[in-house]
Amino acid sequence: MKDPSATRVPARALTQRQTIGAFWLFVLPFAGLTAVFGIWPIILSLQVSFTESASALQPSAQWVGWSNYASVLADPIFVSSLSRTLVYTLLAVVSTIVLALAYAMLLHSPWLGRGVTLFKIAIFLPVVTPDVAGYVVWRWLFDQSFGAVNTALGALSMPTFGGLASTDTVIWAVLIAELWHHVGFYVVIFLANLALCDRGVREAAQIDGADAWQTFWHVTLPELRPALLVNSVYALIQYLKTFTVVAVMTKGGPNDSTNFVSYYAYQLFEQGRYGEATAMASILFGIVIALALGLMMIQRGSVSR
Amino acid sequence: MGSWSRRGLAYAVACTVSLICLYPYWWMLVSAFRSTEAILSSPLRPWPEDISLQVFSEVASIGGTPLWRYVVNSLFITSLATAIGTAVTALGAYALVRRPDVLLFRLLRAGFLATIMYPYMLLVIPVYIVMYKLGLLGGYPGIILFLSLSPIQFFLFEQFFRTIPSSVMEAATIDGANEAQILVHVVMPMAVPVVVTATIVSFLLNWAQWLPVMVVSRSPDTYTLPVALLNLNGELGVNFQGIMALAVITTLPVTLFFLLAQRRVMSGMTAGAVKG
Amino acid sequence: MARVELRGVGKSYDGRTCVIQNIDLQIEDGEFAVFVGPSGCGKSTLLRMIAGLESITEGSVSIDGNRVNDVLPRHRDIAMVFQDYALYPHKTLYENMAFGLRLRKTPESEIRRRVMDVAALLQIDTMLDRKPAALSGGQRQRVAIGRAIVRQPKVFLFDEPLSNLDAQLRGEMRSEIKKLHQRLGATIVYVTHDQVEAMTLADRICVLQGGHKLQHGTPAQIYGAPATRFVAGFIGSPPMNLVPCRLSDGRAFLGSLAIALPERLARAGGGRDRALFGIRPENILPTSEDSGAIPVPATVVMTEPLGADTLVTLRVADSDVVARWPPHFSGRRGETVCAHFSVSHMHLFDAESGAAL
Repeated sequence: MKDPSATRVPARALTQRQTIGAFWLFVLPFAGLTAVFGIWPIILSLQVSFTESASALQPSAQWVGWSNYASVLADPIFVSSLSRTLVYTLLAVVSTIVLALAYAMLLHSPWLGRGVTLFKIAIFLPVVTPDVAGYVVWRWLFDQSFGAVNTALGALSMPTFGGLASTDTVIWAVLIAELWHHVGFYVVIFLANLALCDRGVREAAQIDGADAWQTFWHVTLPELRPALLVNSVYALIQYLKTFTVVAVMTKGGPNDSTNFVSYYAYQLFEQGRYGEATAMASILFGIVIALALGLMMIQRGSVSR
Repeated sequence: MGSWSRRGLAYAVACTVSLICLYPYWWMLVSAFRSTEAILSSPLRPWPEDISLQVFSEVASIGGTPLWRYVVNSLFITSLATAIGTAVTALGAYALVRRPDVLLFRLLRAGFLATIMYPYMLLVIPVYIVMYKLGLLGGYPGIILFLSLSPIQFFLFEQFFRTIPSSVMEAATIDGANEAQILVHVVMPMAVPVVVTATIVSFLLNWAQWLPVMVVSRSPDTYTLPVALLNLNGELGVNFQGIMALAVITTLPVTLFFLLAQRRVMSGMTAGAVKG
Repeated sequence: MARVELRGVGKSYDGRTCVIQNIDLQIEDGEFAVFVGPSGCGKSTLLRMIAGLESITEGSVSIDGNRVNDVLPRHRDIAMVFQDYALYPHKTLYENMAFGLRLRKTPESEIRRRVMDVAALLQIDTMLDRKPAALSGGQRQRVAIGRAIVRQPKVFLFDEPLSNLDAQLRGEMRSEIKKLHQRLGATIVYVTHDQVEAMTLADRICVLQGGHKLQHGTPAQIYGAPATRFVAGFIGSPPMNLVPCRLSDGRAFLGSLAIALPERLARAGGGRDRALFGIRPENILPTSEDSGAIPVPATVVMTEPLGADTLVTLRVADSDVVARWPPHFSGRRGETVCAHFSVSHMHLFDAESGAAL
């Protein structure tokens, strides 16, 4: 028989509610910062993208609906910028991941005994170097008149490199500089992942008669697949935002050949075309979110397999 | 191919790659001591003609603002943004990890993630507008607070706090501690290594920040070193030596910092991305 | 007086998933109470509800006559020993034990006295300046227990404290805990899935399954008069033999074999025609010394010598039962023997509900 004095207590007992106060206090500054400098700006940028540029900063901002987006998508400079950005991003991601993986495997291999730490430091140093400083140096290394790159090529009797001056080669020059700055990050990640790889499976494969290439293709690569996937998307998101290298080395040129979306949007901002600039930023934001969500779905799918 | 030659080849490749990575630093350092004409005539010369610190005094004033001011700005802004960011993010991550049941906490975390995904460089556009409305433009507080938001710190702390067994905190609760006491006496002492890592990594990343500083500043008086470098680079009339000298000043502190703590930095910066 | 009373206690999540159902329980002052049951039966949850680490959806929990449903753990005057010890990794052993007292602003001299006394009691007084990482599992467990004792709480709560230790250490610590209880005379609520711990330590055992209380009684009661077939099979090793049987005429039929039931069981069987017949291995005797034992023909299937006894698996009318016989038994497989079922130790359980008859 149930004791009549036993009462029904609400599911979230008082004890939990009593302790929550402290946590509100802890989270307050973080919430404040995120709200003021993160969430509010994003909402604001979405809002401004729907207003007319000239009046964006005034309280009497004029609502123009999707017309900013329409004019952006109709803008031939934007369209070519977007396709350029996508091409460059793809190029950068593939070369970064492939080179990083290859170098990581080299550093991980038994052929290199001591000194691996030094190599790691050497390749990671550009990652922590202020990107402005690094790109400034590269800009002068690629210089046509007295860049070290061309001087060295000339000394080896090789054709000079167009560098930042020619629309054909500028993408490569920018890519080289960016690889210099970013590859180290992924090398270290892959090294950590390789260290976690199961040695036993690899040794079993070697006993089964597989050579180095087969072992790599059938054993190591499948094991690294989740890590490769995650980092590819991470690199994708990172390279889509390519900005500093352009601002320092090419300013979008020559002839808009390195005018990527981020930079173009910023130029519009400087010109006061706030509506279109934020519309462009929102489009880019949408692409990144789609990629991130896609990654989450792939990860969930592979976990359930 | 014998294993010795394989070793040799491996070392050759690794050394070549490393040299390519390090060469720009050497060039930067050497060029800082050479005049523009000297570099024009022989760009590849590995050693400066004569070493004098004269250029550093020449570079002492860029765009009308003395060099030491940029150094002080960098130090001040970076240190403060790092300190505030570490404290705020640690507390926030702690609350979010301890009480994932609160809906607003989950929303906050989602909002934070959304902020990270927004193209960072373009976030300065609306942030500029926000600061305009808040009257923070042109001053240090605005710059510092904006730089305090740090994704890498959040992930480092979140990851760490998740590893603390809940039973330890329950034991402290039963021992009589309230939440603040648990944080101070139990959690934070355990978190010291993570705090150190987060601080160092955040310092390195904040030092390199340029666009937020440039956009929010109203005059070069609040510029940091990278911004000053960018400006100098864009000036007409190439004061080449000056640019390189400034690049050296910008790069040297963080390079030293990194070399002193490289293992911690490398593992800290890649912590979120390594699976396992 | 440190009594613990549970009245109609229940817990459910989101109004749907029910993990604890309507538990009524009294634990007397100074009693060593053990909650035992299989994994997922809710014993840990119930303990944590007494501690205040889990909310109570229904019913009330009282400590010392005070209803504590809405009271924070630190105000309930309890101490808890966790399965993973939950020591503060950055504090020395001394600090680990002193922490609770420090928080209550106990004077330093008093802290010192209590910690040293308890450390000596648990034989860890030589390592008080070490940190948990430098200790073995057994030592860490002592520190966890010491941390609880030092607080002099009304009720001690133990959540499977010995599960992480190896078998030998577990045996040692079991005796130590029992001695501690005798010495301190404290009220202890102890959770375990190990029925040996339950039987050896408890003043009273509460058997739980699926969030329900199946039986609450002394070890002798639980062992000798199990309330359900589950309790019968859970307590005791090797477990009680449970064989489906037909009932008729005051006799239980195992296949074609008829076993005369004692009067109380024959009456309890009532109008049923089927039931579950139970008898413990040590109550199947090899000889007819016990005049009340019923001889039953059986074939030896297997023998497992344990040293002190031999476990003999016997085939009795289509079913296998296990008997615990003296070590000198040397029957071989296939041999026919005569097993004697002790009449005063027979059990019957309802075929569907499993309740004891």
